[in-house]
Formats: sequence, structure tokens, C-alpha cells
Amino acid sequence: MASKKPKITIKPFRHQIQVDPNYAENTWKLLKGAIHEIHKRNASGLSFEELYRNAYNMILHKYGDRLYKGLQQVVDEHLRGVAEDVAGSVDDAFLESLNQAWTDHKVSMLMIRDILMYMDRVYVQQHNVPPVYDLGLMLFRDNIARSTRVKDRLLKTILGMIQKERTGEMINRGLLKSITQMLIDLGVNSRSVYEEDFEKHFLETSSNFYKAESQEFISTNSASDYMKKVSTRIREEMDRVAHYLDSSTESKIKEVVEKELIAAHMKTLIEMEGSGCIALLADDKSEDLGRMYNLFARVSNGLEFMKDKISNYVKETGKKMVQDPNKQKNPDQYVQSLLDLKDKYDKLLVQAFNSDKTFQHSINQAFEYFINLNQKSPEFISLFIDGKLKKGQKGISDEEVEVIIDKVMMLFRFLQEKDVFEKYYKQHLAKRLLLGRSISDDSERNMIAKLKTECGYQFTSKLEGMFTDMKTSAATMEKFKASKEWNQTHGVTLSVHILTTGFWPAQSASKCNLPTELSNCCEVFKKFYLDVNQGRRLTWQTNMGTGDVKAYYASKNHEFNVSTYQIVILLLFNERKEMTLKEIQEATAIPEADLKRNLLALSMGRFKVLNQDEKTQNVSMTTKFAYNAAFKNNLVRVKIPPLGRVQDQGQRQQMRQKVDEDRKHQIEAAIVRVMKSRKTLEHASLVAEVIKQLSSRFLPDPVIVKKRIESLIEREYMERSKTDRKVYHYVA
Amino acid sequence: EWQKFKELRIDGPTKLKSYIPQLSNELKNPDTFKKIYQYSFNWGKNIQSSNKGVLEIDTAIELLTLILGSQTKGYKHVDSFCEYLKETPTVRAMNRDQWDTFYTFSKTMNDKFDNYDEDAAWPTLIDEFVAWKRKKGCSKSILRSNY
Repeated sequence: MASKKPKITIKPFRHQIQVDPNYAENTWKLLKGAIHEIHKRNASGLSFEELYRNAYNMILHKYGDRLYKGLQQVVDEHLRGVAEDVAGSVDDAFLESLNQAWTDHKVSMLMIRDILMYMDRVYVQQHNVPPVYDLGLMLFRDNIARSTRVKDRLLKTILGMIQKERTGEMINRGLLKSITQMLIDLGVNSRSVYEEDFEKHFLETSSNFYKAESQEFISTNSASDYMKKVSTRIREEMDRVAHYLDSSTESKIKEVVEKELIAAHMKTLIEMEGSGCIALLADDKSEDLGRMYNLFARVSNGLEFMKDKISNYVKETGKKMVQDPNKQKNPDQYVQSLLDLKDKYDKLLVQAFNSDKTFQHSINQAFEYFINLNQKSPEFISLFIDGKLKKGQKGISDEEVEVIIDKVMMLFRFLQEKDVFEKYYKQHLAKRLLLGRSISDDSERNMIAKLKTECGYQFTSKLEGMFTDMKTSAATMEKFKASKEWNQTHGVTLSVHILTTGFWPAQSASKCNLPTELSNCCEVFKKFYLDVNQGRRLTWQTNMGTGDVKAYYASKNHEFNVSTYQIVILLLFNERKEMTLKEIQEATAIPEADLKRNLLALSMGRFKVLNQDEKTQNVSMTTKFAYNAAFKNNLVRVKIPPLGRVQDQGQRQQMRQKVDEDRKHQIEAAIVRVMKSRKTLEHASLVAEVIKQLSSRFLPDPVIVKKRIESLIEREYMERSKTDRKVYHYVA
Repeated sequence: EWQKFKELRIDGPTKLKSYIPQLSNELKNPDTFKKIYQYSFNWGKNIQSSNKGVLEIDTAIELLTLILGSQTKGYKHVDSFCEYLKETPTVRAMNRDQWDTFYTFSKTMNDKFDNYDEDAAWPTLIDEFVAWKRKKGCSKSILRSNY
């Protein structure tokens, strides 16, 4: 028989720990005592290790509940006592006492937390209750910070201190910082206590304070002083936040201040008499304007508002300027004031408005608006440039001229009627070239290059043609001088400029009965020229020439430099001493308007070569002109000043008519161009497209465009669609 | 159809006037009517004394009154347009485009020009007529429409 092995079972060693039912209570009593000592700031005698172990054991033996509840009770009780102390303190010491209680509490709770750390790690997690430190915060909050005797008093005290500081007193910032930090902490991972108990009210009282202050200040002070104060206040508030408020308040208080101090008073600040935005602009106060810009930038729509007001002011000033009758008498002054105005705002843009592009744009628009209010602007700008490109400028260097011209080009860009400018510029250039008055070829070419950049090749090709003509003419003259015909002019020295038609300003063939001396010369030259250049046609432009004529007086002999027409007129007086306007006209066949102008220059100008019986600018057919035998002048050679640079009404009307004619053709050309490429187009789109294409030269009136369309329909360049009346078709 | 004009030797507005009632049946058909209207421009051009590409005002007025005016309803503003033509010395003739467009204008336009669009492609002649009429007869037409 086999023997059975005995079964050995190994049982776990069960240590019967006799847990003394009082164990938990005893341990708790120990810990409680320790907490009391901590509260009494008497913790030096405690053993951290022992206390920690005790707490640890309690948790281990499942007495966590007891521990936690006990903790809660002890702290709660203690804090109630503290609350009494705090509430009982006098006003001056109130904040200090609260702060002290808070500091003490924090110290105590830290120590308590360290002791009870195991509970935090294990019990708190499992039972989802607030950890020790947070529990302490909540107890402090409910017992002290929000206790009925403390809460309101606390708020009042803080706000009171802030108010004091705003009126200039020094306060204890460190204390306040500690208190606000306390409020933040008491929120336990949220800012709710700080915001509810303090910030909300702070913002409200600040708003009221600034509302009142700004109202009072703005009614008794200038805008610039007010703005200085606003800047100061803003700085102060930022400072306040940095020193003793929570950073989350920064944007909120900024908003309040900006609203009450700036937004609420924008209109007043702009319009205030003597110191508002308008006044500052008038006086060029760039520093104040800069401050205003920066302040208004803080408020939504602030800059929009300011920009619009400035734009309107610029429009008004500009409008007055261009409509000022005094300025209109003197083109140079007119343009110079425009330049000065532009300079002023360019400077302000940089110095005060931070080169803000929207401001620049709106000011430019204002300039565009008022410059085009006066129809003479293109003419005057051309005259101004003419003045700068002529000889005889005193003390201005080439670089300075270029700078001025660049500035004028900025004004040119604002012109809507650039085609009018082109016509005038051509005229003025023609005069400069023919009379030899330009400073230098270089300056002229520079100017043309600038115009080319602005307006394209079309604009300037004819101008360049004029230059070429001058060169060719010079070469032709050389040949003429060397030719056999040169000596056939019988004592009259002839110089001829040959102008290609189309390049030069369009002139109708001017009539004039040349005296034999002159017509003889013309024939001689014509023969010479046509020998060399067959197939060309020469037409004498008697209205554009000049010449020297010798006059023999009793006292002294003079030489007059006059226009061709004037030569013809003066030579008449070789035959007769006195003639009426009618007789002169019949003899010379010069057109009436030109004749009058030329006669007046001889009879009513500075040098009275002729006498006029009725001394008036309005000459009539019966006005008599006589040879002035008593003419005297110190100089031998006398230059009769050329006729007025500025056009008179009649000339201007003529010019306008030419411009309108040209525009009609250009509009039609544009219409045909557009229709040719699009084949079919709706009325509104066609008009829009045409306007767009021509906008670099002028702004066509939609009604005129429509008329041109109808004219083109009549001439069968295009037709209306049979199905839709608003649609046009191109007719090939 | 148009041969008929030649056949009957309608060589003047007066004869046309007397012929209109006979055409009344054909005139009731809107397409035919439109063609007759458009044709009348050519016909009017040919019978007038001068040889131009446009219809002189007097002829235009007569034709408009005859043709459009003969329809009792459906074509508005005929009388006032003729009045405008008479009163405006700068307008001396109508071209084909204006003639044709007036047809559409007269047919579609309300009494008070409510549905008149200034930016649409009406010929300037008609734009000016509307402006003239508005300045002139606003109050009158309001009165009339109340009855």
C-alpha cells in the first residue's frame, strides 16, 4: 500500500490588527490640535513626519471621511472667529486686517496641506471633493470675503482708495495688489470672485467717474488741453492695472475710458471753436492733431469720423480758393496756392496722421473734387508750368525747377479734363519754341517725359514732333542761308520755322495781306523750299510770326520787336498818319479779334507806338489810330510785350468749342472700338465701357455718349437689336 | 400689301387718311400693324418734297396721328408727342431709329411714365420729350386720371 502525502496548505498570515475604535478619534484629536497650533502660528514645535504619518494611517484605515469632515469643521470654525476680528476693525485698519488674515490663512493652509498631502492624493481623487488648499480657499471666501459684514465694506474701501488716487492722492498700492490677488485666488481656478465682487463694480464706477469728469473738463477747456488730459488718464489707468489690478482688467478699463473720454466727445472735439480739429488744421498744429489721431484711433469709427471731417474741410477750403476772383486773375498765384495747400497736407499726413493711407486717399479725393470745380484749372496749370520753363527765372536752379514741376504733376493727376490741359500745353509750348523762350531743351524734354509716364505715348507724340520740327527748321535755315535765294530778299532778313501740320496747335489758315516787302520774301523762300522738297504744301501762318521793324523818329531811332500782324499794321502808317479800325481791317484782312488784340498792344500797352482816340479796351470800328510821332524810350531796341498769356472770354470759348468737337470724335471712336471687339453689347454696359476707356483724358457725359450712339446708328455703324431695344449690334 | 399703296396711288396723307378705315381689319393684327407703321416711315420719306434720309417733322406728325392715333387704345402719348414736336424748333426731323423706337415707347409706356427708365437706351429725342412732358403736364395728367 502507497502512503498519501499529507496536504499542506499555506494560509496567509492574518494579522489581527486590533483597531481601537477610538483610534480614529484619537488620531484626529492629535491632528486637530496640530491644526490649532498652526492657526495660532505656533507650528515650530510640531513634527511634520509624525503628523503626516497619522494622516496617512487614517486614510489607510478608511477614516478619510472623518479626516476630511473634521478638517472642514476646524477651518470653518477658525475662520469665523477671524471674520469677527476683521469685521470689527476700524476703517483705517480694515484692509490691513483683512490682508493680514489672508496672509495668515495662506500660510496655515499650506502647512495643513503638506501634512494632509496623502489625503489629497488618494481620498480627494476617489471621492471627488475639493483638495485641501482649495477647500481652505472656499471656506475663507464664504466666511470672510463674502460675509455680509465684510463684502460690501471691502468693495467700498477699495473703490474709495482708487477714487482718491484718481484725484491725486497717494495710496497703498502694495496692499491693494495683495487684496486683488486674494480675490483672484478665491475664485478657485476661475476669476468669478474677482469679477463679481470687484471688477464689475470697478468698471461701473469708473465709467460714471469719467463721464462726469470729461463732461466738466471739455466744457471748460480747449480741445488740445482736453486731449492731453485724456492721454494722461489713459496712461494712469494702464499704470493702475499694471500695479495692482489683474491683467484681465486692462482691456476692459481701456474700453471704458476710451468710450467715456473719447467716443462720447468726438463731435465736440472736431468742431470746437478755436481748438477743435478744424481750427488745428487751419493753424497747422501738427502735435495736437497727432494726439487727436492717436486717441481717435482707439475708438471704432473714430478715425472714419475724423477723416470725413477733414475731407470736408479740405473740400471747403479748396473750393473757396479756386473760386476766389482775385486768384483767378493771376494764374501763377492760383496754382501756387494750390501747391501750398497740397504741401501743407502732405506735411500733416506725415507728422500728425502717421502717413495713414486712408487719410491720404480721402484728402486726394477732396483735391480732385475742388480742382475740377474751376474749369480754368487745366489752363492755369499749363501756364504755371510755362512760367517755370521760360527763360528769365531769377535765382532758381534746375533742380529746384524740377522739384516744383514734380509737385505740379501731382496737381495734374487730379485734373479730370486732361485733354483741355493738352491743348493749352501745346499752345504754350509752341510759343516757347517759336519765340525761343525755353530755359533749356533738357527741361522741356524732362517735362514731356513726365507727361508720357502719366498719360501715355499718345499724349506726347505730337509734342515730340514739335521738337523735331524745330531741329529740322534750323537745318533748313542753314541751307537757305547758303543758297542763292538768300540774297533775293532785298534787305529783309528772313528766318523761317517749318511746322508739320498736325503736330502744332491747329490754326485755321490765317488771312493777311502782306505788304510787298514781306510777300516778296515769302515767295523767295517758297521757291527755295519747294525746289528741295517737292510735293509739299506750304501755308504761311502769319498769326504766329514775329519780327523786328526799324522806326525812324525825330529824336532817336528805335527798333521794335513785334508780331507779324503788328508789322503789317505798322507799315500801313508809312502811307497814312491816321486810320480807323475799319480801314485797317480792310487793308490788312486780319481777322477782327486778332486785329483788336494786336492794335491794343500797340496803343494801350506800356509802349505807346500808336495813339488811340478813345482810350478804352473796347475798341470799335470807328476808333481812330494814329502814328505817335512823340514816342520816346531810353532803349533803342524795344520789345512790345506779347499779348496776354491768359486767354480772354472769347478765346476761351473758342478753345472750349474745339475741345467739345474733339471729344465728340473721341467718344465715337471709343464706341466703335468697343462695339467692334464685343459685337453685341447692352446700352448701360456700352456707356460704362466707353467712359472707362476715356477716363484718363476726360469724363464723358453719358447723355452725350448716348447722342453719339444715335448718330452712329443713323450712319449705320451699329444698329439696335430687333429683339431687345436696349442691345446694340456692331455693323461690319 | 405695300403694293396696295402704290396701286391705289396714295400719294399724300389725305388719301391715306381716307384709306385707313378700309385697312382696319388688317390693322387689328398687331404684327401687321407694326410692319405698316415701320413701312410708313419709308413711304413718308419718299413722298416728302426734299430727298433726305429722315422724316420731316410735319410729315412725321401727320403720319403718327393717322396711324397710331387711329387706334382707339393701346398707343399712348401720341398727341402730346406731336405737340412736343410742334413746339420744339430744334427738332426738325426724325430718323428711322427714333421712328421705330417711338412705336415701342408708345405701346409700353404708362400714362405717367412710371415705367420709364432714364438709363435705358431710349433715344435722346424721347428722353427730352419725357422731360418736357413731365415739366409741363404733371398736374393736368393727375387730374385727368382721377376721373
